[in-house]
Amino acid sequence: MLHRRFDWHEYIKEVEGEYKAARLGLDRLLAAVAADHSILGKDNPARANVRAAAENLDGTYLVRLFAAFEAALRSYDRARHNDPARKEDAAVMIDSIGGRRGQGISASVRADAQAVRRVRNRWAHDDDASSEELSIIHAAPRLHKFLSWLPDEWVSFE
Amino acid sequence: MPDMQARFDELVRGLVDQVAVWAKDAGWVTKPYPKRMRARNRSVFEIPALYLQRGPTQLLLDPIAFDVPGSEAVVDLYLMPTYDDMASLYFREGRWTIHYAFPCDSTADASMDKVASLPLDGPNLLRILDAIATYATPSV
Repeated sequence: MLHRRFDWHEYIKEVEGEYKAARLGLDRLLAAVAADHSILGKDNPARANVRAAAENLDGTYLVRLFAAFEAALRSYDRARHNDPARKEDAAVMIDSIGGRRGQGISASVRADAQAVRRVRNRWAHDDDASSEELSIIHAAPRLHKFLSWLPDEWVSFE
Repeated sequence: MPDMQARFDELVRGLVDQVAVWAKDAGWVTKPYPKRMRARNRSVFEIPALYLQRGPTQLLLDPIAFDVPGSEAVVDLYLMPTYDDMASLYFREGRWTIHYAFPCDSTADASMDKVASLPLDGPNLLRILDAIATYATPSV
């Protein structure tokens, strides 16, 4: 089976689209609640969590966004090494995967992807090693740009 | 094929064919690409997307959805390779409309962008493609 890079871009774009829909909904809910507190009944568990949900929405979706990116890298990394069981760390894959021209991906593109990975780690693992702030809107183009260096398609073992 | 999906397929194929003609006449190189999408029953179907390139500017006309409140079809226009959102096209009330934020010539302040909703025709599309080619830079 062939994996197409285009499909992975689309997968990431879908996550971005879901984030935008969720952001719109939460922002509107917060505005409505600010105008009328009774919208959320006092016993509704959402009442205590709606503000945190809004504040953490970027992190929630950034974890999904990076998972899609990592899945693309893993698929390509396994094809490249002809090893369906290979399981390399995301940090290593970002630095080691070569471009479609057989050259290394440029340092700035790799650094941008590593920055997204570190922010993902902070959200997913409560890892405070990174104090960077990165919204979905700024993270996604970095991942797309990295993927654009991969070949158009590769053989998948999945 | 369910009716909504068949309608989406018909609308997008017509759009891609028409945009390719308008763009080629204005010097853009175009290349259709089969996009895989999921139907409501989770089956996969293919529908055409369209790459456009003129000089260093690369764009993708990308079918997004048909199950959209108030619209029979939505297609986005991205700046590549970063997939930055540039414009959106909606089919409603029997016609395509394109939404685009025209940059103001005299300011770099994005909040000053003038958002326009225009009926899709050749001149409007080419005006927007020209604006993208003139002003847009990938976000990273």
